[in-house]
Amino acid sequence: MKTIIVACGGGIATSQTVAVRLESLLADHGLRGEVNVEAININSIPTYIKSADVYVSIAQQGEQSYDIPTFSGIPFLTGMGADSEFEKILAALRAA
Amino acid sequence: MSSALIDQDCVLVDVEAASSTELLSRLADDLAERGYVADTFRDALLAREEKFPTGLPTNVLKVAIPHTDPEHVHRSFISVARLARPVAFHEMGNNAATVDVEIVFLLAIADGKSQLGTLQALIGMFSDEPTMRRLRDAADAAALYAVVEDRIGGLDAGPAS
Repeated sequence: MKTIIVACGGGIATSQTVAVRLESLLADHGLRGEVNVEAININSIPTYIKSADVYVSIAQQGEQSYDIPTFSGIPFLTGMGADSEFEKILAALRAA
Repeated sequence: MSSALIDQDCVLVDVEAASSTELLSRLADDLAERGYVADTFRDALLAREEKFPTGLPTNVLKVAIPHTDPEHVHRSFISVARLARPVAFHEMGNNAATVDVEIVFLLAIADGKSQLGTLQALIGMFSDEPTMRRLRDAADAAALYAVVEDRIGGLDAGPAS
């Protein structure tokens, strides 16, 4: 199973909300149950990154970057650009 | 005590503030006076906003969703403040940019998982232009409360406290 991690400053409000939105979009694309979406605290990334295929970030990209495809979670909060960002995530999942 | 996540007393219009810090401090102090959050909530909220800002460049009406860790929250609650004039917040995910925020939803969340339906509905409003126009155009606090309540009311029970 492919895994997407969604990280924000707390791992509660924002990342959870984006994770639910992604699960819903994945289900719309017939991928229900095929992709695991985890909402985590940004400090937990080093633990989760090894088993993740895609990272969706809500916090500022710091100096730290990771070797997996990384996307912005903000479009899933504002609705603006969500379709195109989701298409990129789907492409990265297919390639993973 | 009602377990509703929003209360008409905490849905405000024409709020004046010179800065995001002043605004968040006042909203946090009000929740502390109500006993919904700990005395530590305000500083934790300001520190989180500084490090992980929450301004969102949404359509129609620019929003911010300040929040902090559940340990500072006694009872989950959402305060709403529509501003008399926009106040600059840093943009979520892009600390270098600012957003001239017109409405603030202060999220005091004790348990993200059990409030997820409400958060989802709240954030879903931001990409729903007709609802955002209703939030912008609501004539007074009662009308603003009615719009928000219609969208997010009753989705999750509050904690049993």
